[in-house]
Amino acid sequence: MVYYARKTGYFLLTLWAAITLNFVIPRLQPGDPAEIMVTQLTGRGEVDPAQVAAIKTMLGYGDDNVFVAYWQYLQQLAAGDLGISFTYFPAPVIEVLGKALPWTLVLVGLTQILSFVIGTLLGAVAAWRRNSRFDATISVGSTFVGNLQSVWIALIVVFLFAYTLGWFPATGGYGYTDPGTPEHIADVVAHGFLPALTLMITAPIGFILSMRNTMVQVLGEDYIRLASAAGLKERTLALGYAARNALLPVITGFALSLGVLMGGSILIETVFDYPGMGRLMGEATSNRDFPLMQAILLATIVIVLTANFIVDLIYPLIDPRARKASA
Amino acid sequence: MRTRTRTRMAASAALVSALLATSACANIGLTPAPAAEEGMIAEIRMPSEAAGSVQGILNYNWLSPNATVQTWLFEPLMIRDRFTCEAIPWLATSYEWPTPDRMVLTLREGVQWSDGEPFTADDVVYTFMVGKEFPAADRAGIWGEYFGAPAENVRAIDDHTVEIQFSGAAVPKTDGILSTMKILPEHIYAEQGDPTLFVDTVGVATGPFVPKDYNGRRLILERNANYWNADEVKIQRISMEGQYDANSGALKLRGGALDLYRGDIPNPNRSVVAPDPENAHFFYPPDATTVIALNNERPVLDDPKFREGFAYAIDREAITERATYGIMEPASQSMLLLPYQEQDIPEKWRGKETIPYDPDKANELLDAAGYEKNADGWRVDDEGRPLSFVFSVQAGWMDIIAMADVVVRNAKDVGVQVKMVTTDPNAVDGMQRSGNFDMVVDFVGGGCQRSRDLGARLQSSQISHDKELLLNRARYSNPEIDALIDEWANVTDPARAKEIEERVIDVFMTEFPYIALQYAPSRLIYRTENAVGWPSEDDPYPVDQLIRLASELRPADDAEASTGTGED
Amino acid sequence: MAPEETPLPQPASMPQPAGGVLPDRTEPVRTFRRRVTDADASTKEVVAVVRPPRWYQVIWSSRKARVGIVMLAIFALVAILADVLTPYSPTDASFAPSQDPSATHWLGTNTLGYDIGTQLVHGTRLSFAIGVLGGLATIVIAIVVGLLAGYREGSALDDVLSFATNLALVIPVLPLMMVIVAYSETRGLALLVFVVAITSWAGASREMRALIISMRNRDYVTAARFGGDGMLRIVFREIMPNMSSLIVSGFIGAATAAIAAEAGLSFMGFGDPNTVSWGQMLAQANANGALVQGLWVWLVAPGVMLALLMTSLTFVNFGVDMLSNPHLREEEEK
Repeated sequence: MVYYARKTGYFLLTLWAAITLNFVIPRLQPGDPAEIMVTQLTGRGEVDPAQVAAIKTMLGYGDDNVFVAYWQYLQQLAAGDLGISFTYFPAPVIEVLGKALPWTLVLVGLTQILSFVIGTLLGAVAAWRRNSRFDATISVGSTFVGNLQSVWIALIVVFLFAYTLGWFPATGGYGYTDPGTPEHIADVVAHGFLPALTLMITAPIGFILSMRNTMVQVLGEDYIRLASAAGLKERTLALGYAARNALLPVITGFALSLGVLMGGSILIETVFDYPGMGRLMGEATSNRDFPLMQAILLATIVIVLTANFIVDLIYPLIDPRARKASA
Repeated sequence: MRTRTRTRMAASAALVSALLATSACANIGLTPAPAAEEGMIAEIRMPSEAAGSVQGILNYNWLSPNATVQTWLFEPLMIRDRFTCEAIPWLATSYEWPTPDRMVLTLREGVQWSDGEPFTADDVVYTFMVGKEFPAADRAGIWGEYFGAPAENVRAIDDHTVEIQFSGAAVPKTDGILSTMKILPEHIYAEQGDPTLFVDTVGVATGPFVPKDYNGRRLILERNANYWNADEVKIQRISMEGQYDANSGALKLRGGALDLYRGDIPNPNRSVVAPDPENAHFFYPPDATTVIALNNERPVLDDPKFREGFAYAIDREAITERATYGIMEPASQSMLLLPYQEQDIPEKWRGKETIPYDPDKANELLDAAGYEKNADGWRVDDEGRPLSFVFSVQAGWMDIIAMADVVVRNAKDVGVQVKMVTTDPNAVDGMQRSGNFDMVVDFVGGGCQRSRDLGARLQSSQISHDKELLLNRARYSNPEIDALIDEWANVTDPARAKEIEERVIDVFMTEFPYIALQYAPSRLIYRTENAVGWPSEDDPYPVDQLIRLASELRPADDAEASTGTGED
Repeated sequence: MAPEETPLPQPASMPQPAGGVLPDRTEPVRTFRRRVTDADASTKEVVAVVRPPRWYQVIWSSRKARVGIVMLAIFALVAILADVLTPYSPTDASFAPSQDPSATHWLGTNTLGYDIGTQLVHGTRLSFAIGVLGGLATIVIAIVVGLLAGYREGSALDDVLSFATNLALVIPVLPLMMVIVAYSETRGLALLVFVVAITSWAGASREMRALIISMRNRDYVTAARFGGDGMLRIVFREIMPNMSSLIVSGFIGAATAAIAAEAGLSFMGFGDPNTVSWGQMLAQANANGALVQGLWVWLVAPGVMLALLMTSLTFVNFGVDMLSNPHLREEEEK
């Protein structure tokens, strides 16, 4: 009981600290949002002070005392108001997030889950067939391929498959179809194929290797030998006992990797002109769009902390050894 | 074993057929544009004008930084041609300043809003007056003290004449009034309160196109048959889609999926034109002068003789080679844009307006200025310390870095130590704000309001002191020049204006507060297979106001109608 | 888990080695029964004395690790001998730009006029340096924080350190990097190492903490505690040496991540354009439109090099993993 109460307390405290950091760090960056915006709008090096002043008034981030602004921010947050984005003025932040989030969830979320499944499967098989050619190919191959920079892969993939061969669309989340029609789904899948391919080339490696190592260790345990000697079938042994136990530490890794979801794919999304959260985060950071940055970071933190919190909660349930909390 | 090979073969067969089937998936749902009628262009495809990458946020209100369309719907009063400096009539046919504190605009007659309402002086009055109540909408700064006295009142003298009354001389505000503000429909916006907060999803405007269809990513604009200049508009429709970085833009344009692109493609000759020289072209006219802004307040840099010597040490040809692949030309030290503003170069500087690369002369001048070389070959100041400067450069700005690279080497050749340090671009702005730099790259003027574009660069009132970033980046200060520029702002006698202009150009040419390097371009890369009439070396016109293209483009082959291709 | 070395009882008979000198008995020795396939000894069993494999023997026994070590050695040699290996200087931008590979420029020149081959060779130095230094910084911080927090699990110290670790995990990386880089006067190796360490230590720290929690309850630790040793001494003198192979593999992992991080940082524009590194080459190649201009080599070469260096480190890590996880041994002993 105390365990759960402590974990909850931790969660809330970390949440508050992270929110505060999210407020402070963007404002530490040099650069004025209005000036940046005017430079982008006019496309010129020199900046018209009249436009800057008008836009500053419009955005309303003013010359308030920073503590006052912080207090206002907390109040707004408590009321559920995430503010109005600078870049997308006057669209509220929640609307902007709502439009970008599904793309990232679908693309990055799906590829992460697929990578997890494929990676652990391959790792388990490689461990089971240790020292075979399969194992060697998987280990060596996935090491090299997985160490390639994903942006580099993205550039080459898009150049090769989209522009040179013309098999897939090069840019966008979708193209000419209207949302809500059946062909829209095909359109979305077609546009998501190349980004997903790029992500899937590098993502599984971590899972493959960690699953393989953990599983090899589990396979050496005595109870596996006993079950094997007692005549249990190979496949039952592998899947039912060894893999299940090897999976535990890998799951914690997976939960942590969900944090990658939000910001980690910015470079790939830029190459593919994909309208996701990573790109939005990069955009918001370059534009010093405080409300948007704060909201995205908040969303990231909530997701990561919640994922870890859930893992911390259920871990004692799936791993009896961890039930004995700190004595 | 056999089953394995068989399954392997089956798998590869399935893969190949799936891949072949997907060849068609590059353009799902694409319906080609309707065929062009006689003498018309079927479709012009360009990237999206919205600033943000998130799709599906529709707002035609140009006051929003993320307006879905910036160019083709709302129109300005007049357009200033940067090359000839004349004001092209647009929604207004003429303007005048009967007195320096009163501006009178004559509006075009017979203009309609796309919903049928007539365009009148009330719309112009509303557009400017709303900025008084909601300063966020005052983009031209007429209600503030920007380059002139604030306005007092805007009123309609009759249906087609508008008068703006200022509390004092305000002539430098002209271009802001004529071109920065785009006229809003009073009958729709007036009841919305703060216009910057209004999300306009209908897009009623006076422009050459009207919105037709938006699927969240691609916007289609249709030709406005009731446009005041409809006879000159030969484009049937415009399709705007996607936000492309330089590489994607180049590849798309090269492949024929885009008709125009305005980003900064590295080496356009090799990237875009060489693969298809018949159809792919670019036009990079000079838009401003790239200069080194030296901090005139720092020791040694405050000496005009040193700056002059330094100017001769710089190899501008090498700079244009490295930074622009040889496309742009070395710039004139007069800060005027050649060749388009050639006629404005004062007599005495004709032929000498661009500083040549002459390290011998540089050495001579630096020696004469009293900066001798020490035993190691470095020049020293009067206390014997070697001269050493930091060139602060924006990280990630490849062309600027290439320029600085050359400058560092050139400086070394004449015995001056310059070190390039890259920092965050906004941090560089901060350094300029506080005056905490030796040398930075800056862009000077090129516009037609020379009292503002050139004059403000030398005014002591435009020296920043930590608050805003003002225009006198070099921090040059001379009370005589200050007085002249103040006079220049509101002078009405053209001869006197010319006199002052020449005196100011003299300052640039003799005192070198900024050292000109090359011209900074405005960029347009385009294809000619669907449309011709784009600006080029033979037919130059500036396209900082892209709306001009609407009335300039013609079908590629006037004899037969061109069909839209619309493929990736 | 580290193999525990418990002394075994001595065998009844000890063979006499040819030299007639008894083996040194300062180290624990295991006895193995081996069948000697010798014509003479076909009917006899010979008891041989075999030492447990030393750590370098374990690592060398893995083929992957062997390959990795050789590759690393080659990279290190190239880094040291860079000036000798290349005819040009990496800061020499006087060549005709955008040349294709030729006899004088094996990999061609880039758009700014630098020789790509020279840059590639010299880039080894910085990539190596950032790997070693970045990995070191990361793992040192992770060890100190993780070990201390784990040893005192549940106490106030653990709460504070875990809180800091969690916070470091959720801190927004991109704005933080931009802030650090924007406010630093100079860009260079020190800045890169700092940024890499700040953004990576938290993950490794959590692992260290989890590890030490599982090791904390071993008998020898209890013995030391009852013997009166303080926490710091126990953590750093007793437990850590047993975790050494895990720490080394953690270091190698951190070094690999540091190299990748430098490439990512440079790509986003936070690197130092005055230096030559593979990440900088990638960034410049992309910003200058290498693919669009048909300058393949400029983009492909640094990417492949980065992957090869990171792969060699990962291979070595396979070997090191075998030290801590004996089940992984007996691999590739073909």
